[in-house]
This record gives sequence, structure tokens and C-alpha cells, in this order.
Amino acid sequence: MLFPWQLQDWQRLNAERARLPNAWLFIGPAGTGKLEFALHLAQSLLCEQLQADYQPCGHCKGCRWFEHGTHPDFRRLSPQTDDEEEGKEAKPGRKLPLIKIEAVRQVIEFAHLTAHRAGQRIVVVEPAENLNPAAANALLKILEEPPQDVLFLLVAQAAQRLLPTIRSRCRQFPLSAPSPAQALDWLRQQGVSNAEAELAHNGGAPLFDHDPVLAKLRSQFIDGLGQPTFASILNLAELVDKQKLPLAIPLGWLGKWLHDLAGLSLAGIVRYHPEQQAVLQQLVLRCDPVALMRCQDALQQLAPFGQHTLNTRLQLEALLMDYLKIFAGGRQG
Amino acid sequence: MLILQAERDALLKPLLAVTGIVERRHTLPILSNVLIEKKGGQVGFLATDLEIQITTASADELPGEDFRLTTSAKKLQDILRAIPDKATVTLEQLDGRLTLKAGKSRFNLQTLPAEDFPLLSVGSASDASFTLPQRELKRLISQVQFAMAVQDIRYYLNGLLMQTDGNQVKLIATDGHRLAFASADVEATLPKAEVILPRKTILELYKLLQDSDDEINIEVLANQVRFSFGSTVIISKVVDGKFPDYNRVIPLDNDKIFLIERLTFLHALQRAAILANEKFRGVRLVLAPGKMSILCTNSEQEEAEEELEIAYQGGELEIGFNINYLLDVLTNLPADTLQMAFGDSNRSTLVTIPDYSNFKYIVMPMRI
Amino acid sequence: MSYQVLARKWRPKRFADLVGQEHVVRALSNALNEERLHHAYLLTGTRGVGKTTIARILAKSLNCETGTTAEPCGECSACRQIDAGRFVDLLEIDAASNTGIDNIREVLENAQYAPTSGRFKVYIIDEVHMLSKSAFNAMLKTLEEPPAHVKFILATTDPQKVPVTVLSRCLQFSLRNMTPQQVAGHLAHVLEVEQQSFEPAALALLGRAAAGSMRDALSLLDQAIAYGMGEVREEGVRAMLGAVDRRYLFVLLDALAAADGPRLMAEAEQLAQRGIGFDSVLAEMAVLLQQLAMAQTVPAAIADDEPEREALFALASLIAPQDVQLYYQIAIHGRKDLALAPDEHAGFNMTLLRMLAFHPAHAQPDSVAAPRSNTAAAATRPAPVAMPAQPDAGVDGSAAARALLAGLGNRKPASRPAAQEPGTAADAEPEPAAPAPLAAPAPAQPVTPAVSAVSAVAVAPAEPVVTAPAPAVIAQAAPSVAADDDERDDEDETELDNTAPWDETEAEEAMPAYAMAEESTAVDAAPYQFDGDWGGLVTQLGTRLGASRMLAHNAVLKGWSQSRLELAVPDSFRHMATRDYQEKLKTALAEQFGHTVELVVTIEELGLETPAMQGARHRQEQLAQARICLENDPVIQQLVRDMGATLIAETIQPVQEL
Repeated sequence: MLFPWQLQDWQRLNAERARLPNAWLFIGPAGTGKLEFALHLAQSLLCEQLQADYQPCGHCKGCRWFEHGTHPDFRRLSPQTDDEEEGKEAKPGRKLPLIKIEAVRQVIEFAHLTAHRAGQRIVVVEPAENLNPAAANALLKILEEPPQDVLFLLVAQAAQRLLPTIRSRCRQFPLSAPSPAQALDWLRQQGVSNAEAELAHNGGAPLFDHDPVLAKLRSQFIDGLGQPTFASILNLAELVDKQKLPLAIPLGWLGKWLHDLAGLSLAGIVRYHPEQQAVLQQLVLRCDPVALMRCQDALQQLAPFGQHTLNTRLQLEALLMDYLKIFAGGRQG
Repeated sequence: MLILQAERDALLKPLLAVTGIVERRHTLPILSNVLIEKKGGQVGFLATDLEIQITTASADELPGEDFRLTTSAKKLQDILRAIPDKATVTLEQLDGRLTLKAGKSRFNLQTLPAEDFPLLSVGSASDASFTLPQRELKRLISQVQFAMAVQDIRYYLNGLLMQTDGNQVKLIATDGHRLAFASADVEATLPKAEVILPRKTILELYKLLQDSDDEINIEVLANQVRFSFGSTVIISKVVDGKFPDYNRVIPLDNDKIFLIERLTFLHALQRAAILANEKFRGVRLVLAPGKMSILCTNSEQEEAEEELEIAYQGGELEIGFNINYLLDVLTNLPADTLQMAFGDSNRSTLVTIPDYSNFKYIVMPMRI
Repeated sequence: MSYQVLARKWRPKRFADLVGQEHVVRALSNALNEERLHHAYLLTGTRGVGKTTIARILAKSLNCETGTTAEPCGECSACRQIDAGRFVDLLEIDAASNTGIDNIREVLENAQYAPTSGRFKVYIIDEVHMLSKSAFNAMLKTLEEPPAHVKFILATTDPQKVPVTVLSRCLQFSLRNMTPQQVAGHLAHVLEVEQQSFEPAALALLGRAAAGSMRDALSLLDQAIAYGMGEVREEGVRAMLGAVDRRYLFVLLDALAAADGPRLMAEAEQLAQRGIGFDSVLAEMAVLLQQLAMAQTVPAAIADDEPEREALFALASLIAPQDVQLYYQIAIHGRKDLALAPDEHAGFNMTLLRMLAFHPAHAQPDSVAAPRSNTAAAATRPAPVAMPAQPDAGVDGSAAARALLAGLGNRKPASRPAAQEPGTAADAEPEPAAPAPLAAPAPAQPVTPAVSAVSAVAVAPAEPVVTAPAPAVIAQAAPSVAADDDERDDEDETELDNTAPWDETEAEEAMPAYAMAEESTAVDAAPYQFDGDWGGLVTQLGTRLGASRMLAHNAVLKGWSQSRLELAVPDSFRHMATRDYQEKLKTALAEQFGHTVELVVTIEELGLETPAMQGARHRQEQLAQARICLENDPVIQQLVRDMGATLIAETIQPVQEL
């Protein structure tokens, strides 16, 4: 399925069908539907009764198997947590999942056998940044010189984080992000409540996991940030800890809040919390930009450990202390 | 609702033929299922591991409506096995579940929709097609399959090359150290074609082939090979690669030649092998006029020596091999006498059968 | 043969078809012709420059049926099979999938067997740096003495990770990055053969974007052909590469210089709308900032045909050098940290906001505006002087520059009155570097026409024009931004110490060392008198030596006067004595002496002690002394006697080194 803002990209891609590369690398901002585009392309290449515009029919065997995830000529390389590898259900955890070499080996074997349905064989790798180094290196040879009719589709948000040796072997295809109007429209159609605020919070990217529970927590957190006192800080840390949220989540919330604080203070812009404009205005009056940047530094230091099993509460409290200092009246203690 | 009633064996036998390839662990759950399809009077069983697809049909005509469903191959097999022979088995289907009854036993199994089962799409045009007695094909395979590579990085070696040309079909296997070649004559005149059959296909085929004169029909299709024998049809994908040119491997000028009895040689080697190095399996052959010595040493410096009389008047030679490579060929060679042709200690050695051009074996020497 | 991407289709099949790498091809061809072949080769180089290609051609050369030759025929069965990837005696192993020692053992056992159809069994092991340590060890013996019929060709993009024990057993060839010209030339050739029309300017862009890799270039070319629907045009390629049009960067930095937050963010938003990757924006911004610094300190280094020369100088006049430095740091770090931001747009914005926050107009006098650095010792920034920042200084000048930048859309040469350069000539600052041998237009008052003249101002108070032996870099007066010279700060240098300004590697931490050194001219009270103690002088110069430290420490004073020093450098350090380093040394010396000092450096071994040697000797003496002290210490003696302790002499270290 294509999103409304991807229709032009689809036309552009179709123009390249006479010159299929060995590997395509789809890049674009997060949450704008890159994976869906790649899957749609894969389906269209496996569909046995293509419609106009190279759209898949949705009825043939190929389409049906694809939609069920059982097409024998399609493989997907995506990160698996340890649980999944053992055949159990994936648990959202504090560990960062990677694509491992064993999965890549299987795909290589798959690529060396002829097709099940006498057509193409497609491998989707997503997100390509999550290939661990050994897996990425193992992919190089076959990525560069796959057998006839084998096509790799890589999806990445930040191409610069891929191994240059991998990037080198792909044809890059940037995908479009939706305009704010398109994004809002789409969200409303999905029945997301409070669409504007949600969209703003996600930086204009409409494809986010809408989790009402998390949204509520976030709201509480932001409210707390809007009242920077010692007591409220402690409450926030406790709140996060009680919900067993991985550090990455409040770090993300705080990061966006700091962005808006700095933005409003220095440049009059607010990006993530338009509905909090009034609160931010008040805070800006007391805010010291340099202290804000120091808080930002502290946040950056923590960011790589977002999934770590650190003592989240302690870390957050320390960080929020730095947040308080922003409003200490311009002078550090 | 009742869909089938049959004797246990009528179901178990064909089922067994296909379950061999069903793997335990799968990326797609439906692959652990067997597709059972009734069309007209026949009940067909189909299983796949995405490399091979096997279909068999029940021998007898069975009454009942047409149906299609899939259920766990292993569980069904275990159930049927456990039921007494000659028992009557009924199958009922309701709400996506399969109920199997036999006597006082009742089993209720999950099913997955038959439309989800990934069937191989089969090309229609065959490049070459021929028949052989099953026994013959089995024999041919046994002469070469031991030489297939196992998980070699040169993936195209992890299988067996099947070539057709004129009235001949040829099978070749190699792992880079030794190469086995076997051919047979067929009635049909065949175009030039070649495919690489995956290792697993060969092993599975070998298991299913009977030692009988019943014919097997082999069709080489664009990207697949179809084997039909009895009520079984195996369709196998092929390895997407190019096999090396084996003709270049055959040494032409080896001049140290002699004949030897297969069993004598084999037994001598087997004895010597007892003290061959566990890892490297090296054996030294020393040729001198009239005799060949076979020497093995292991890591503890223990030694075995065998001496064989041979009708040989050529030059002296000392040459090393991996003893397994010699044992392999001697075990599978289809004759009592064989001819060894050596070059020098760095050149490959040719093993053939006198007056029989349908078998060749080339083995590379090893540095001892 | 159905469609294949260009990178695959155009993989060279003969040595003669390779672009660049002549040094390797020559060496290998000779070796092949003379049959003097090593048994193990290591090919290193970045991605896509020819490692695997050369390895395969070498395999053909070794196994060609016409004989071992530098020009494999390409027709015989061996050549054809190798080209098709199905030659049994050629094993291409990717080390990443076979890192374990068992895999390697298997491979090595395999090597025992003679080749089946070729003359040689060739192993190509790609990305060999991925092997585990034990796998490397397992390889050593075989690498050292493989069977005669085996050849190893190892390849890696990361030779640093290959143990020295393996390196020493291989003949190593470093493949070079291709120049943009080489790349563009080859692309033109490809397109001609493929009968595709193109614009040379487009190829030049692609050549640069390829960053040294031919494969990257061909992949990009494929992309360009697809993007342009069969035509390769400059505009299309530019859009495709998301090549940040530098004009927008100028506008951005102009807004930043004016501390105009709303405008800055608006421009940033524009960039985002155009889908330009933030990573490349920050990268380009860093490059631009680096150029600004050049413009501020070594204006003549900016080429005359540099496209946006005027804008560059205009901008350079609007931002204080240390701010340029600061923004550079922020840009570099911001780029590194993009991945850590909630999303890249936020990361980019925050980077810009940070620059704003530390803009002199905003920052508080005492606040230490430290951008986060990796080392504990935070990069210290000069405390921006509380006085209003220099954008206000020289009102006329900055307004003019502003106007120029604002009119960037039109690119008309600015024919307005120039940047006022307050205080330039007025502070008769001793010229640090050798002033121009060219007749600097009598400089005096800086009302110079048009911005480009900024560079031409040579403030040359009466000074002996000393010709330097290597007048490569001609530093002219620090131009207008000299207003901020008052704010020079020695602290800057600690950070900039060891970076040669001409590092080819991508912009690293610090700016050209001498950029800052220029600022910190110490106006000494009394003129310095050199007494011939070279070692002492070197110590005194300390960190001001910057990149020339190695040169200074390893040179011997051959002869001297108050205005001329002759140094002798041993052959082993000749690389430290290039012009660039000499210039740097001269700069430091000039500072110290208070006037220019002629410097003559020769490569010879005088058998005398250099400061480095002196230092080493001194250290040895100290260590020996310390050891004696320790050994005679009663407590230690008691420990040794009664408790069986042993003094581990090698662990004695000076306190300063802890």
C-alpha cells in the first residue's frame, strides 16, 4: 500500500524498471513510510497479475502469500530480539536489536537457489543501519553480484550510518516525506485523536506508533517540565521509573522540549509542542540559553545509553537537575 | 463434516514419502504442514522445504468430496503410525480444524488454509526429458554423490551436475579435491542441457528411489527438475550458478598405469587407515616396479604399512592422498577391477574401469 | 545479457582497463613478466577502488592458458570461467562470514590439494580485517610458507585491524583514492560507449561526490541516468546529490552572524523542505567555516577563481575568528551527534541554536561556552568579551558585507565601499609570518575598494622583507576581523596543537593551527635575545610550535644569528622538515623574537644532540636517579628483605606522565 505522498515516488521508480539495479537503498526521514514503500515494491515484483502502473493486484497467489508473509521468494532481514530467535514472542525490551550474521547466511543460501515461482527473488533489509558489522560484511559479495533475478531492497533512515562498502553497492533512492497538510489529513483519517499535537510531537512524521497510554504519560511529563521545581523533578523521575520506561523515552521527550525552549528563546520557533506555547513563553523569560546547552550536553552524553539497564531514575534525576539550572536566574550555582 | 475414510496404510504410506523433507524449524509455519488435496478419487499429499516439493498420491481410489487443507505433517504422521494397522481412519473438517478418528481414538488438529501453501510454479517447457529404471538412477547417483561438496563457499559445488547430450545423461560431482563422473545411455535423443541439483535433493531422491526396474521420468525444466516415479513427483529447484568445466580436470597424459582388484585395494586401505592421522587422513602410496606400498602415520608416530603386488613396470613414484578420497571411490566403484593412472606426485590421478567409459574418478594428491 | 548495473558491467577485466592504481599494476605486471611472484599479497584501499578487481585479474594472469602473463587472454577456458565466477581453483572468501578459526582451518586444509584445472590455487580473502585473532594466528604459518601452487590475495578497507604478524608476511599494495578528475574522465568514457548524452559539469559533480571510489561513482551515475530519464545534466545531478547549494549556507551563516534567530531558523526550514540531508548540510557548513578561517588569516590562499570569493570575504568580515572556530566545533559535533537526536531535524536545529546561544550577542560574560567535546578537558573557549561583538564594529563595513550577502541571489560583483577594517594597521602588530615578498601595496589605511581587497591588505609596518627559503604560504595581514585581536586567547592553542592545517582527512577537531596562532601575538616588553640554546628556545616556545614541534625537537642548531637560524635535521625526520612545517616554525620564531627570522633547514646528520634526544637523555637520567633513590630507601629495603618484594624497575614513571 502506498501513502498519498508516495505516489510521485512510485512513478519515478517505475521509470527505472527497465534498469533494475542489484540493490536499491531507500532513504528518508523516520516515520514517513519507507518500509511500506519497499514492501509495496516487493509485492509488485512478485505479483503474478500486475495491474496498470505496476500496481499489485492483491488477488493472485503471489499477492495472497505476500500479504500473509508466506511468499517463498521473499525474505526479510530485520532485527530480531533473542526471544524471537528462539521462536518466542518479541518483548519490547531495553536491548537494541541487531540483524545478525546467521540471518544473512540464510538469505545468501536462499539467493543461490532458483525461484519458487519462476520470477524474482526479493530480499528486504530494514533498517539497514541495524546490520551488525559481521552481518553487513557478509552481505557485501552477494549485494554486489547477486544471481540474476535477485533484488535487494535496503531501507535506511540515515545513509551515512551504513558501512560505506554497503552504500557503495546500492542505488540510492530518496523517498518523499509528506507535507504537513498531507500528514495531518492522513492522521485524521486514521482517527487519531488530537492529531495536530501528536503530529507536531513527532516532528511531522505521521507514521508513529500511537500509544494512548504513552501519550498520556508524555503529557504528564511535559506538564512537569513546564513547572520546573525540585519537587516536580523528583516526581517525573519517579513516574518514569514506575512505568519501567527505558531511558530513551524520557530522553526523547526532554530533548524535544529543550529544542522548543531553545527555539523559542533564541529564534521564536516552536516545533514539537505548539499546544504548549504559553507555558514555553513563560519559561523562556527565565531561561539561560547557555545553561540550556549544558543540559543538552548532559542529555547527549546519556543518549547512547538509552536502552541500557542503567539506573534510569538516578540518571534522569541528575539530568533534570541540569534542567532546573536553566531557570536558576542566569547564574550557575 | 466427513471428508475422507480410508485404511490407515492408504494414508500413511504416501504421507511417509513426503514428510521426509519437512523440516522442524521454519521461518514460515505453513511449511511444517502437509497439503492434503482430494481431487476426484485421488488423495494427494504435498510437502515442501522450499527447495524440493514432493507430491504423492494414495494408491487406491477413495470416495468422497473434493477438499484441500493443510495440517502438521509430523503430528499427522505420528498419529497414523501409532494407530493399529488396518484400522479405518476417518477425517472430518469443521471450522478450520481437522478431526481424525480411528476406533476409539479421536484427534483434533489445527489447520492452515490451503491457499496459503506456497506451491512451486512449474515451467511448462522442458529442455530435456528422459526415463531410466529407478535402479539405474540410484546406481548412478551412488557412484558420484559422495564427491559433492558440503557447505563450500563455491556454492555451485554443493550439489550434483546433471548434463544431457545426445543419448547420454551424465552426473558429475566435485568438491575441488576430487571429481566423480558417471554416465548412462538413454533411448531418447536429448538436447544439450545442464542443471545443478542441490545436495539435499540428491539425498532425498536417493532415499526414495526403489531398487527396481520401474521407470523414473526426469524432466529438465528452465529452473527446476521434475522427477516422476510411481505416484510420486519430486520437483526440485536448482542451484543458480555455473558448474566448472569438468573436462579440463581430466588428466590426459598420466603414464604410470596399472590394474588392480578393487576389494584387495580397498581392504588394504581400510587396514592402513586405522593408523591414519585423525584430522588430515593422509596416506602415502609408493610405486615401484611390481609393487605398491601403502603407508599411514598418525600423530603419535604410529605406522601402518601394506604392500600389494601389482602388474606395474613403470617408474617409481611417491604420492600422497587423503585416504578417505580413495576409500570413497573404492566403496562405490561399480566394478571388480579398476585402473589407476598416475602422473607425477603433484598431478591428479585418474581412476577408471577398463573397457568402461561411463565412470571416471579424478583425485588430487595431497602434500604429506 | 540482460541489464546489469554499470558498476558491474564495467568492472575492468584487464590491468590496462584500470583507472588509477598504475603503481600497483606496474609492480604486478613486472612481477608476472619476470615470474617473481610473492605468495601473499595484501591490497588495501577504500571501497570501490579496485581491490577485488585486481585480485581477479591477477587470478587470471596466474592461470591463463597462454601462460603466466600480465595480459591474460580473456578467451581461454580458465579466463572465461574466472570472469564468470565459476573457476574451481579460485576461491573468493569473505572473511566476515568465516571469521572463526574453524572456518579458516578448513580453508587452509583445502590449500593442501593441488589445483584441479589451474596452475595455481588462488584464495581471495576479502575484508580480511574481520577475522578473529585466533583465525589470524592460524593463518600465519601458511601465509609464511604456503604450498608452491597456492597464492593468497588478501584485501581490506581497514588495514589497521590486520595484525602486524600478518602484514609482515604479505606484499602490501595500497590502492589510491581516485581523483575527481580521474573519475569524471572515466565516467565520460563510459557514457560515450553507452551512448548516453551528458554535460561535463554533471560528471565533475559526480566525480567529487564519489569521494575517491569508482564504484560509488558508477552507482551514482546509474542513479543519475535513472533520475534524469536517460540524460545526465548538471542541474539534475545537483538536485539528485542534494548538493547543498552553498549560497544557502552563506545565507544561513549571515543570519547567524547577525544573531537573527528567526531568520536563521526560517532558512534552516527551507533547507529541510528541499530534502537536503542534514548530515551533508553540516558537513558543508564545516567546510565553509574552515574556508572562512582561511579567508581571515591567509586570504591569499583563497583561489582567485573560487566561485563565491566575495561572499566568502564578506562573511569573514562579519564573524570573529574565534566564533568561526566555535561554530566549526559546534557543527562538527552536531554532525556526529545527529543520530542521537530525537530526529535529525531536531538535531540540526539544536546545532544551529547552540551556535546562536554562544553568539557573542547572547552569551554572558563569564559563562564558559563549551561545546561538548569528547575529552575530559573541555575545549575552553575564549570568554567572549562583554563588549558588543564585532558585527557592530566598523558599521559601514559590515553593512556593506551584509548587503553583499543579501544580494547573493544576483551574484553581481559588489562594487560598494568596502569592509572597513578598524584598527588594522593601527596596531602595528608584528607580522607573524613572512610578509609578502610581493610589493604589498603600501597598506596603511584600509579603505580598500570592494570586498575582495580585504585580502590584499598587507599591513606591513616597516619590516625587513626576509625571503624565506620556501615562500609557499604567504600570509598577509590579518584582515578586518583583526578588531577582535584584543580577544586573542592563548588557551585556544592547547587544543589546536598537533593538527597540521593541511590534513586531508575530513575536518577534524581543530582549525588550522596557525589561524589562531596569528591572533596571539605576544607583544613582548623587551626584544628577545637568542643565546644559542636551541633546546631552551624550543622549551620556551612550548605549545606555540604547534605542528612544527616534531621538526623543532629533532633538529640541531647549526648556526645562528639574531635574525637567522640554520637547522640540521637527520634524514629519518625529513618528512618533518617540509615547507609547511618550516613555515609554521618560522611563525613561532617570529613571534618569539619579535621580528621575522630567516630559517634555513638542511637534511643532514651532524651527530649532535637534538632537543628530543636531550629530553630522552634527561629522562633516562632521572629514571636512573629515581631508581637509585628507591633502591636505597629503607622502607623499600625492608619490604624486599622481609616480605620478598621485588621492585619492578620498568614501572617507574615520572609523575607528570601519570
